[in-house]
Amino acid sequence: MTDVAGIVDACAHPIVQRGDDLKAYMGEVWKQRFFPAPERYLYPHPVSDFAPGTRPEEGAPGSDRALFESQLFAGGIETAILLPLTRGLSPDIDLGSEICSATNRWLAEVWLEDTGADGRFRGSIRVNPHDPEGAVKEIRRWSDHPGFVQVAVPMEAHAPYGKRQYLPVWQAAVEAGLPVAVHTDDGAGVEFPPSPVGYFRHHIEYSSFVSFNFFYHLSSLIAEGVFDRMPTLKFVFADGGADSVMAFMWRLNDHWRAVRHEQPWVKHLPTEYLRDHARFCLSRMELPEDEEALARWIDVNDGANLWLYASNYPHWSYATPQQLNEPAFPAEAFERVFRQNAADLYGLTTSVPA
Amino acid sequence: MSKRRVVVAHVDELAPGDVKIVPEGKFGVGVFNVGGEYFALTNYCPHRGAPLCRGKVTGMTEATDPYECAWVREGEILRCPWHGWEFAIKSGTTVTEPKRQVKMYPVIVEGDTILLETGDVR
Amino acid sequence: MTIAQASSERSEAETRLEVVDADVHPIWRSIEELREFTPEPWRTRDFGEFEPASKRVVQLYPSPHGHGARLDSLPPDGGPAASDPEFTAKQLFERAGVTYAILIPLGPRPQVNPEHDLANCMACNTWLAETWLSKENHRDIYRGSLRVPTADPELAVREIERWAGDARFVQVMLDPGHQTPLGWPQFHKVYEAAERHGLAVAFHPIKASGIRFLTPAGFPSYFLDQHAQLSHIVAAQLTSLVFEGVFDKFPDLRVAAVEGGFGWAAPLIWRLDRNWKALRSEVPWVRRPPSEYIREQVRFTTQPFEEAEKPAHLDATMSLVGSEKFFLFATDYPHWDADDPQWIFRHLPKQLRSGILRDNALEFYRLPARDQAAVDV
Repeated sequence: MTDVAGIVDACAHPIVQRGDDLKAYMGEVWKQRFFPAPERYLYPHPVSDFAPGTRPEEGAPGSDRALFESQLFAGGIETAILLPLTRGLSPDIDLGSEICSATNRWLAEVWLEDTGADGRFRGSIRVNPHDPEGAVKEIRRWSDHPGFVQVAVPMEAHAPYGKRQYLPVWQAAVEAGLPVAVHTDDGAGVEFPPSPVGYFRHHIEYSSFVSFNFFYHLSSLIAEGVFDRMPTLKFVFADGGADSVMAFMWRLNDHWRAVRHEQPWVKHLPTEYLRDHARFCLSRMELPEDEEALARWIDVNDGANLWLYASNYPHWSYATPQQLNEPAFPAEAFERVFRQNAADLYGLTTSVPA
Repeated sequence: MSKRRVVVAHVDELAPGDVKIVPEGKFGVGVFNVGGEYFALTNYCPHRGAPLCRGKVTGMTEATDPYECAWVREGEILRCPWHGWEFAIKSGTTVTEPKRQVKMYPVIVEGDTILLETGDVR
Repeated sequence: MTIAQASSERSEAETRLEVVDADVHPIWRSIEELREFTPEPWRTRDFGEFEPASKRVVQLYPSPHGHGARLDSLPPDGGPAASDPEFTAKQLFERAGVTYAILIPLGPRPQVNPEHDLANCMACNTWLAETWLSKENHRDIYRGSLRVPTADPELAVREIERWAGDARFVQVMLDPGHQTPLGWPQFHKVYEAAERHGLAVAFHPIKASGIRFLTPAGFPSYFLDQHAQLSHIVAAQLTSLVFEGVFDKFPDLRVAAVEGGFGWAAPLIWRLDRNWKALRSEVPWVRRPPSEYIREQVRFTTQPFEEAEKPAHLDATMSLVGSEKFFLFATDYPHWDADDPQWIFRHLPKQLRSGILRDNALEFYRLPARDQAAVDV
């Protein structure tokens, strides 16, 4: 019998102390190169990109492991899945891949070296989906390391993730038995505008809207039959939007029946793919503010099965389990969303909580 | 409810691929000739109530491999004129899941006359 | 709403309905009809020897039947679907008593050159006024939407001013796929003009070609994913309008989100409110919670109706928006994904029915209530 884990945080963001520290994990040729700083160029937060009190004495918030642990694990979290960001989409494919490789080496060395039954961190293998061959190699390089429990790619892309050029990457993830997480990347790269109607002028619009962007990839993966090809493939949409899943998926259901003849390889009603193939991390910048409305909305979205608690520590929208549980989740849904869904997804067997 | 038989058409008037909508029942009944056999479907789509039998008689695609499909069952498929749902004419069921069913009626040929058997009492 | 005995031949189970249809798409029988209404130099350019640019049809991400219309909506006397005002009325009346039908002409497709766009819009607006809104408006059910060049606010205002005071037009349609969010300050003069002249503003997705199909994740492959994603375009525009202070600045402005779906309306409202509480220092001109502006000044049409699998889910989706006035019934006639008022009536939460089918639209579009019997076919 699997022990029930303590609260699992499905997404937290460690970072190097200073942007250039990443070079220590790169080969000699790459050390001579220049690449974006970690901070997001567009839409700086009006106050701070980071939650109050998370900045260590030296270095960026999220760079001091001791502080990270003491703050994050204070409120009942027992295990945290680390998802470092990778400076935006690089027009130089190899540079983008090297940033991913260096990030993985750094994560393994600094954050995952003592993973075991007592290890409280797990990590994500960052790969560059615009370099499918390189991504496959990188997944294979780390897939046997017990600390890595998923692959991670940016939300921003030049083509949605159902398109055929990405298939080798997802295939490698499937062979390694790893889910693929999708999260908005910071930094400065050659991303397309963050909305389908161009650039908002303010951070607040960006912040309000981008949590809907997961659907571009989810609808693409379904429409191109990726889940039909790879029955064990799982995606984790790690950047909010969990409360909008069904609203968008119902539209996909409607259209699927109307244009089945164009994509006959999509065998099932689109919502049928969710349980086996998709999970969604919560954010405290969404969800109703009323307890009864929340209970109804969990039901509408199959939240008890599809949602995962995530802290997003130490970003400005950092939410402790207490903060995200306000209004309160019904008890059974809480158990699943804050513990069991992530434990099942990531194969976590940790001690029974006190 | 007693059964009645309604004349649909002379066999020469309903060639393979044709349909005739007979004003029977609440919404009408479409009588189709599929390869020389006759099938009658209620003219009401179970999705949103469109006049189903005014849709297109066609074939369908079948996926052989991802991104590869074949064209099959030409003349056996009816696409709803509104949302394009595909129905297999011979069985009245949708091609897509979850399966929806259109009510069907028996069709009888006596000599050169095609007759529809309905359950309506008029 | 009264429930009287069935008047149609269709079904005893059907209910006698009275509706305002907030989305009907008329088109000309032939583009030649626009020639006389098109200003120069575009009249000579577009109606010369060669096929006009404005006639070019976009078959990108094509809809199920190719041309976008229900197959049974083609008029018996010929012409495209919804080109015959009388046949259109007849088809609409087969399913419900139509008090008013709000026309949103999609004929003029967005052009890269705003001057050309203006010429096409002027022609369309004049054509509509001379046909569906006057001599072919036999039951006086049709009311119109002005087309304007979204890309050029000055020209848009000019066209709005040309029709100011003409009560046959109830709103201005803007293109939500425009590649700058429509809350940006340069567009505010359009909202000012609309508010001043008592016109609502409607966002209705419209197809052209090129960069407008770009998403943050690139171009989708198929109609299947692309069309489902139209919701995001409308959501992005509403986000922009809220936080650029458009609703605060123009408190009498009314905005209709047409054909973008509505399942996401409640999640959008929650998100805007939570972000406003946390981040409002950046946008001090947004003085009230976004949910208040949206409930007061925005309406969503019900088509395409959400395919919720359980009534309880549909109920939550609609009622958690927090306003019984929020939704406006629409058929989207003659499009393939048209909604049938009878089916909608049966599936709406009971307490929302009469508002959604008729009363919300009467109030929103400031239309006088009418004796339906006087209007019927």
